[in-house]
Amino acid sequence: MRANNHSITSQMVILLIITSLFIIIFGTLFQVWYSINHEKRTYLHESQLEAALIADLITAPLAFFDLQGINANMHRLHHNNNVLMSVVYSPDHTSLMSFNPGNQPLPSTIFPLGTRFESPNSNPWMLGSLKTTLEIKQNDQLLGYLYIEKKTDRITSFIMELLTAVTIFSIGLILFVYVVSRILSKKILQPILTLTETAKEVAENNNYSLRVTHNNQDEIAYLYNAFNHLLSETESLTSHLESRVASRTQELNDSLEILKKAQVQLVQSEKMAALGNLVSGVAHEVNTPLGNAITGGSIIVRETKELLKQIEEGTLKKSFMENKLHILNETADLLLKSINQAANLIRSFKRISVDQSIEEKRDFNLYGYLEEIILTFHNKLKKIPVTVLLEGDHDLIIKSYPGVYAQIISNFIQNSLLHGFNDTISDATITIHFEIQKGNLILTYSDNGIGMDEHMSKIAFEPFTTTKRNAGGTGLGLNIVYNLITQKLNGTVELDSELSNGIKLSLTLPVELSTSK
Amino acid sequence: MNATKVFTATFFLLYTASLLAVSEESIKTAYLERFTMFIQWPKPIESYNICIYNDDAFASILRKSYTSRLFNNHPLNVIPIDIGTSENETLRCHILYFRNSKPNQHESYLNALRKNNVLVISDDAADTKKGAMIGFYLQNNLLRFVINQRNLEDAHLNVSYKLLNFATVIEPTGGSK
Repeated sequence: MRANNHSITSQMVILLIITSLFIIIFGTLFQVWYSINHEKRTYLHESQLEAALIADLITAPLAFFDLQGINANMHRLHHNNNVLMSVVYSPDHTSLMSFNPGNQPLPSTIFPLGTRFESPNSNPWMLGSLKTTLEIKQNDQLLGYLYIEKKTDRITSFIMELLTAVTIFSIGLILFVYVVSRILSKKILQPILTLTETAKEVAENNNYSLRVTHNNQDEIAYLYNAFNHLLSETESLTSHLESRVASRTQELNDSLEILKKAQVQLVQSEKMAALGNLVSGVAHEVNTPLGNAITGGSIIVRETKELLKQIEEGTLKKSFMENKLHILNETADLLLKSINQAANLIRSFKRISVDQSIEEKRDFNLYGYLEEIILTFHNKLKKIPVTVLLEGDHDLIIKSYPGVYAQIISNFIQNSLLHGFNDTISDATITIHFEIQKGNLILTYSDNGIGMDEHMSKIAFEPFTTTKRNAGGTGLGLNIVYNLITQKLNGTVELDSELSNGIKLSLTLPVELSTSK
Repeated sequence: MNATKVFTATFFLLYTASLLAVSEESIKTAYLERFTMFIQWPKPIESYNICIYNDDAFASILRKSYTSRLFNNHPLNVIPIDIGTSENETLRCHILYFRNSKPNQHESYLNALRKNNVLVISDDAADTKKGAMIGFYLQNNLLRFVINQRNLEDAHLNVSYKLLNFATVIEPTGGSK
């Protein structure tokens, strides 16, 4: 906490000091530059005035060739310690009189005219010397030149004094800014720091009973009120949270239990429905050949009675005998065929029901097995009617769970019959195609029924998905199929369907091919 | 202009080396020219008339040394004035230089000269108290001069403060140009 506290205060102090530094640096630079220029201008102006005065004073002595007079007037410069040298030249630049306390060599040239700073090097802080060259004229007639060279120590020392003063002032100002910013930041940031401390306390100890107080009605007060409000809300929420979570969990557990029971019941009823379908199918299919057999049997009984009666009466003729025997022979054939058909049906049903119950892997001919499954729907298919096209290798024998295949294909056919085909479908067709690809059995089931929309396609394999709940649909059929495909057969299934374009179910099933083909 | 410069410089060197090396006449010749630089006449001047009273020899020296020279950028004439010349003759002079004779003591004559803005110069500094405006004298082997400021002002001749500052001034008026 101390570190954070330190950093936000330090940031503010540093910011203020940096801002002040910028202001001080630029202000000082401007002030120094201005002052130096002002001092230079003043010195220049003073020197010009001084030179003009001396030039005035020596005009007449120069005009009347009075060297003593010139010397006496130039003597006025002697009290000025800044003067390095002053020389009076004749119009042809011959030196006439000079004041040269340092015995320096006279300048090689005194031009240009006017006053200028001349430095032997380009250092801007070293001003060198101030040189003035004036024409001494009377009524436009040139009498000579006055050359004065002065030191610039005065400006240099002024610059040094100025820099010293500015440095001391700047340091003082920065210290002042530092102290003021410390005080200000403490005053302004304290409420925020208090809030931060409290927030941290709340976060660390989950103590939502804490509150912050602020006396002034300012932005901080709004912040504090909002924070307190948040804390009180959180406090009341937290206190009720656990009991609410517990009660909700219990409710959810109860719901889950009910749902599980319902699911078990639904699965059971789906099984019963399937069984019912099977039984009614068996009854219906077997009923026809048995009826034919009964009819045949009764014909045989009746014809035999007529034959026996004529034999007993002794009225039997050869032609009558041949006619009756022909009828008996045909009827017996019909009877045998009908009973064989019934026997075949019973055998198929038996095998399917056995497959569904024993759930063991065995070798079987897929094509033949699928044909038998289709056969169990013979009547229902005829009723609509639906053409079933079965395509694939007639001799393919695989080792798998035939009952599972029966359950899957039965479910598909039932779905097509129940949901896919209605009165608007004129040429109802179911196509079952299978082939072996890369060791997998690719089985495609498709119909040209009404199909299903995109939403329905997505949820078709989810449990309890049905559009015919009122008509007895459980919504578990495809879910059971899905579980059988994915868990029992370790395969995958893809549903491809568009509304009014039928459905297509593509199954990819890993299979063992039987070696005893 | 170059001729003037060379003349001045040469003269200066000789003069400053020793007064004896240069004749008094030469110095005064140069001085007369220099006065025109520092004194302004009230009327515009086309050419300076330098009148030499009663010294034809000096007048001819002047004429010779002033040949092809300008006074204050104006041409000049050297006019010898003999004793007894009428007042009217002298009134055209800009400078009237009394060499050997004293300036005329008559009040009326001096008044006429003053009215016509004639600068009266005398070889005797004492004459500045008797109507002359400038009078020469020797001091430490140097030729110097006295100026009577009142007389100059009475003749409406403006004198530069630079000259007043250099010369010995009597009867100062406090005013100068």
